[in-house]
Amino acid sequence: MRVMREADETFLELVRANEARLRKICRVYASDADAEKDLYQDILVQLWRALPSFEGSSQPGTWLYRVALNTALAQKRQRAARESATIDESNAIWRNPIPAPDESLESKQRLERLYAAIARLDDVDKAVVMMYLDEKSHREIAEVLGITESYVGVKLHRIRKEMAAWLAGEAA
Amino acid sequence: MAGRGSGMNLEDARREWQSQTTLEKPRMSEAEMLELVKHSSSAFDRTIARRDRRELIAAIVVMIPFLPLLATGPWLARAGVLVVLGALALIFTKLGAVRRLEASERLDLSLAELLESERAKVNGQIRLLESVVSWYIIPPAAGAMLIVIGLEGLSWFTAGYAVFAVAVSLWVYRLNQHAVRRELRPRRSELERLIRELKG
Repeated sequence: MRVMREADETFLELVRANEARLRKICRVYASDADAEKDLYQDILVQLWRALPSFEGSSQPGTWLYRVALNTALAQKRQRAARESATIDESNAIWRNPIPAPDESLESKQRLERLYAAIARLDDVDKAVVMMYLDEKSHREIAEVLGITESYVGVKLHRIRKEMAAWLAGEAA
Repeated sequence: MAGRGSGMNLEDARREWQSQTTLEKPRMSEAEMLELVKHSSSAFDRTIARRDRRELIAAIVVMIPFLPLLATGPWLARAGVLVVLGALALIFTKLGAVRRLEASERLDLSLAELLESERAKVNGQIRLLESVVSWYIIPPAAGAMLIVIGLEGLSWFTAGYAVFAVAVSLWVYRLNQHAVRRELRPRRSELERLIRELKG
């Protein structure tokens, strides 16, 4: 049996535990299905490259969000430089780019509405709301973004109001 | 169908968000995925290393034809060769520093830290390209001019060469300013937009 290196095991555990979260981030930031696949794969590569700093991290959740979010926002700016390292379509890690919820048609439609509402936010607010939906604390959100906890509160207050109005409005 | 009564509040939204699972089996095994990620990561490193090697080789190739002149040419041409060699070393060093800075990106920083560091890098690149005349154009052009004067004296050929050198320098300058306008300023604007969104 092949002995797996500790770093390999850490990485796989990290991906296993956060696959759904990473794919949600991709869905929120990518422009289409192909971009979602590219982004997911790019995030995995960046997580791997940043892994040495994960091992000394006291906040694994914050670390993962930082790398994933920074990769998503940087991808557009750095696409050209990374072109050669992008994995081609034949090597795609999954077939369907969108996580399939084990839910009814109505639930799928509600999710579609939720993603549509998130898409109306600016890039930073998208990150804030994703972490809010993932039940991250103000402190964790502040650490990922590098702003104060009180400012996270201010942002969340506004975003929740906007989201609530959009979600209610779109349902009517 | 999203009809009346199917409205969603934020608590519902939270539940929906957290209920998403990745039911679909990945296309490849974990071992294959890991292999792919490692391969892509090292491909990226190899690309950077290849580019650095190419630039070093290009600098050496450009230097080689000048070396015989250094031993046998007239003193003005020798001085010109030294200026050209110095200019090539300066260009290689400046470009190398920018490349190293680009490759040192750390994605585990907070978004605010990353955006500020990216903006500092882009500002540095803009300054570098805006000052391209002083480090990229004039030094090698002046060295080459000294070589031509040393070899040909003040002649029609030398005058023609000077016109040619000025034209090439202007073209290189415009090319660099075009890159600033088309690539770097939009990148800086995008970073500033994100910083504004972040800090309000």
